[in-house]
Amino acid sequence: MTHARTSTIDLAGRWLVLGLLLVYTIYNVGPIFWLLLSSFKSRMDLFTMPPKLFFTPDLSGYQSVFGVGAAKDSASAIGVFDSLVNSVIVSVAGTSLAVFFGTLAGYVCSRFNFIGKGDFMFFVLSTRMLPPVAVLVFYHLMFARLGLADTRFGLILVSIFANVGLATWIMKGFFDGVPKEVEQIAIVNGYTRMYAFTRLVLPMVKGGIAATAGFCFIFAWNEFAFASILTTTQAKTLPVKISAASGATGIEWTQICAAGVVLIIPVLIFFYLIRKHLLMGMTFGVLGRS
Amino acid sequence: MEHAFRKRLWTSAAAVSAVLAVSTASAHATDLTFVWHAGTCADALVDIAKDYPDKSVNIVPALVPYGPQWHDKIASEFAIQGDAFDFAMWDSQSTAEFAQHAVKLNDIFDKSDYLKADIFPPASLSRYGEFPDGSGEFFGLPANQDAYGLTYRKDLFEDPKEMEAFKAKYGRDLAVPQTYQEARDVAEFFTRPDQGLYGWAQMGGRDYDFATTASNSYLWSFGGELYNPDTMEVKGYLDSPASVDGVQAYVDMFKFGPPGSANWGFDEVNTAIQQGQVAMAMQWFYFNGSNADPKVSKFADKVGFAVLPGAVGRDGKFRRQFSVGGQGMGINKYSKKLPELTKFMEWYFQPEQQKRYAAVCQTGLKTVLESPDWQNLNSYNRQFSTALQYLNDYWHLPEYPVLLDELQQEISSAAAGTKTVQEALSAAAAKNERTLERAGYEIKRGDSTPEVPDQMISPVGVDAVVPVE
Repeated sequence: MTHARTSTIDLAGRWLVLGLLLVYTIYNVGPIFWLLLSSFKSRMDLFTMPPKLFFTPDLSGYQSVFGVGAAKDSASAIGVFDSLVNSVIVSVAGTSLAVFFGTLAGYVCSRFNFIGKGDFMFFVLSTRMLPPVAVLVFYHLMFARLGLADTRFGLILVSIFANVGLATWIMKGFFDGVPKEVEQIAIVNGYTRMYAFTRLVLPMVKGGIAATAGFCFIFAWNEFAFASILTTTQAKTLPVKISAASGATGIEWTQICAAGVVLIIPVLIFFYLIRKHLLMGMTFGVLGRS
Repeated sequence: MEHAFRKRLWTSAAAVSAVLAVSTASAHATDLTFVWHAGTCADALVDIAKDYPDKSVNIVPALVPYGPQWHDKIASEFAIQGDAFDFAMWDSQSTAEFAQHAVKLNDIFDKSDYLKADIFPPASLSRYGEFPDGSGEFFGLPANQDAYGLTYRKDLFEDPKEMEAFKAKYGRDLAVPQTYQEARDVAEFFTRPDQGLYGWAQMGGRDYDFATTASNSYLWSFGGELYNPDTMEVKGYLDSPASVDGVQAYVDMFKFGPPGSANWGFDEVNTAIQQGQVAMAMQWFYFNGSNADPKVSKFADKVGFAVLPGAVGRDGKFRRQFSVGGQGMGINKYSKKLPELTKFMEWYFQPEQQKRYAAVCQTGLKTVLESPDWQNLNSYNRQFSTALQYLNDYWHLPEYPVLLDELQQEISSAAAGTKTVQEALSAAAAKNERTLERAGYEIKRGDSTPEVPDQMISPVGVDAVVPVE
């Protein structure tokens, strides 16, 4: 009887957990599903109450996003190709370089003691403490004088400046988890420190690099404040381009939803590609301690 | 092994260098770049410019969203005296702020054979380009005029049953309201939440100028003023009894709006019109094209357009005043392409081009505005033409963005019900005066403040209600 009661409690517990997981899944996936659905709705269908689940698909949002069909000659159409290329170049180059410098700086801060190390660590993190608006005009002035305004190169520099501090801190944490004895043994055996770093330590923090790259990529991909002021026509990124989606009817929600779908696809692909390393990186600290 | 690593390092470095090299964008010497908010009117400009005979000149749009980002894009470029754009469309009230960075157009008027001040209605040129007011110095051309208007459900207003029921309840005919007092009755009559129908929609949101373009229209119509431009006093004017009457009438109208409408911006108002959710709405003429478009609005064939009501103030005078919209076109004085810009504008403001523009937006060119073809082009151009004579505007001062933000904060608090109208206007008046004092203005305090400020600043009150079509 006691056994039967325990089974009933277990079953109820399982159902409760399943129910909570279902709610959590809907909470996370629901908005993306709604975004996808809305990207195929006409403005008329978008605002119908109660909301329609079945409707005649309207492709005008995607036509505007890709600057084809009826939106071919519209200056207000989003036309994402140029801005998509800009976003990919800025995000990939900015992330790669920020992670590269962050990895080197993180290793140095993890393994060496030098005067002002604490101040340095605080300084690199402080670059993220200022709201972008506080330094925007300074950046704008500097970039205009240096000929970097409205260029991808300028935005890549912004992306590096914004992310290198975060990358340094995260990578320092991962290097701290690797025993110093790994390099000491290599050096005792006649290998250089560079060899030990590149051949022994780096492979052990691959997951950390992937996790850091993931964070930096998200920040770089979604960056809006700097890109909106520092670009005018040539180097506009996707978030800036999407924000300008307005037309005769007001805010063009169908276009914005379609652009939102296009905006999240590269992020999904990126995270799909690094998913194994990411998982390793997320659990690195836990495994290291256990 | 080490060799392989070095090789990979060099390959990576070469790849990054290649990306950086490719990423540097090139510039075109003959591009004339303009900043404007995206939309039909910007599309129209670009479309017309494709036919510009000088094919060595490209008109390049740098479009931004409507709202603060649009203002900030222009302001930040001017702040660094940059030439990332050559000309821009900015709100009428921003002329004062941007004039110091814009080309004074009087010089162009003097030299050009065609581009003269008299090709525009004097009031329009003054509204969109003159600074300081009355100085005769112009920094913007009336490129895209706009005004607040009234959109209403014709099917409801013309329904015999509704007409009969309204007359039985209020003792007068159901008609497009001429005063806000009448509008209140009509809005109350049509407010039927059980049928999903509400009487009135208007903007009340905190963003940009949403709440205050609407509330100012009431404030001025009831005889209030934002400040006294002669003495720079705000206290006693913005929070005068007449101003409080006006803003109170504005706040009261939210009772007849859909739930949550006190936070609405232009898009929510459009949606309410297009879904037939409201009997009347206060909305910019700019949006009438889409609200009359059956592809966008379920009620396209059922909406009518009219001039906004006025009000009978506490002094018994009738006034009809509402916010000006639209933008002036100004030239960036740091641009190095003034000759090309002047030539383009001489071509763009020709009647042929402006007729094309006026088919979708509201031109500022006199010959087009006066032509019967344009007035009869659709169901609202005639009303728009009438509306132009009742326009009023914010402060024409360089401190406009700060003054606006302060007033927005307080008016949206009143709309949300977190402050009384008197509290909100007194707080806004104190903040505005402090901003003006900090900017160096001398506040010349008078012995008394008027109950109805309009009487002593720019009197427009008349003894009887003057109806418009």
